[in-house]
Amino acid sequence: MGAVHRYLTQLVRDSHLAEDLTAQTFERAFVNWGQFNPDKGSVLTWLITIGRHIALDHLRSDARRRGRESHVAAQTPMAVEPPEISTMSPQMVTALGHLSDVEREVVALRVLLDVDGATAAALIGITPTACSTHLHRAMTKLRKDLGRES
Amino acid sequence: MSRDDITPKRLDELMDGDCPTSQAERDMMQLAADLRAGAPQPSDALRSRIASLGEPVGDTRRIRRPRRFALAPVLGGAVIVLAGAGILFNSLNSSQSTSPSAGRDAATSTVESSDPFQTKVAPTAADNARETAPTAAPDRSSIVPNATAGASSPGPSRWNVPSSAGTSLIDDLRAAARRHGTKIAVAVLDAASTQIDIALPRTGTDALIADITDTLRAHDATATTGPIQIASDQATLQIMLTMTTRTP
Repeated sequence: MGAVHRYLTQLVRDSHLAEDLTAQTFERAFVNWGQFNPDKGSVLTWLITIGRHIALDHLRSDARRRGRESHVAAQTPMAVEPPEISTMSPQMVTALGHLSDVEREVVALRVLLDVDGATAAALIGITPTACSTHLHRAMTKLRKDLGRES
Repeated sequence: MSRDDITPKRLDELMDGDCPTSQAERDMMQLAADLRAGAPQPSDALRSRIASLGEPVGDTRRIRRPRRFALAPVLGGAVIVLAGAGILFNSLNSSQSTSPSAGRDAATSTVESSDPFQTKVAPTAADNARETAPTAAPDRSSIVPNATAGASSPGPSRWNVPSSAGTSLIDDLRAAARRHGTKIAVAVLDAASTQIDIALPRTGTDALIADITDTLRAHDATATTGPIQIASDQATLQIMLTMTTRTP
């Protein structure tokens, strides 16, 4: 559960939304438990796949909703709350915010969840080489933003 | 590339558990550790919400098995259908392979139609295969219905017919067939050869064959392959007429 939650938190950059999506992920997984095939991968990989689909569906529908409400938002400026990334330092949150979506997803899978490169690439839908490149670029950006360059 | 740069491949190795060997690598691993340490933990509300889901629905093994073998009945049915088609094709092929007309398929294909029991005039293609057909039938009475029951269909019955018989023989054969509730298909293969296919009725085959034989003999035709023989499962009787100029 924790791994799925960590992954979804990085994906949507909203801890509350990530909790809802995590719950939805497990609800769908419990209902579709019969479709899980251990020959194709681990339970974590299967859960991440479900969670990713749910999150992307949510983000797409949210984008459409935002598009419909864009003119209202333009007329009525609202205070935008910073994304909640839990216990991370503000510098870390800012640095993660500078990453692209795919870089942040790669960091979530490879660093936070310790998913191997091939599996992470398959989950995201990119090649293992691209996954390595994104990870390297993301970590380099984070080191630079956090002032940890040697 | 500076001395503390880490290649993507090396970074992958570090993330997969390799030990850092330089200060840059140690810094990178420290950054990864900080990221993990700062990662959010699921709240108690989320834990209780997921815990309330209970046990997963269904069993992966029990449900996966029928998915894996879902196509088995379909494939089995397809195999049965193909086997049946193969047997049918083999049966038809074997009955045709014993016929001298097998080597004449190309020549006669142009006269086949949806109603084969109509008089047709085939091209005057040579029928050499007919001349070399086996003539192994025993020399006994020409009326031996169902003599080879259960075996493959015997070959066509060959008859030498005086050319003077002409179309009257065909008309008489057609009339004989009509009397027994069936009809004939006539294919003139060349100037001297005519193939006659008689659809065999389900009953009264003996009488039909006797009538056909009497009709042929009435026109001074002589059997060169012995008596007419048919198998119990035979649907068509094939008679090959060869016009001769000699007087019987």
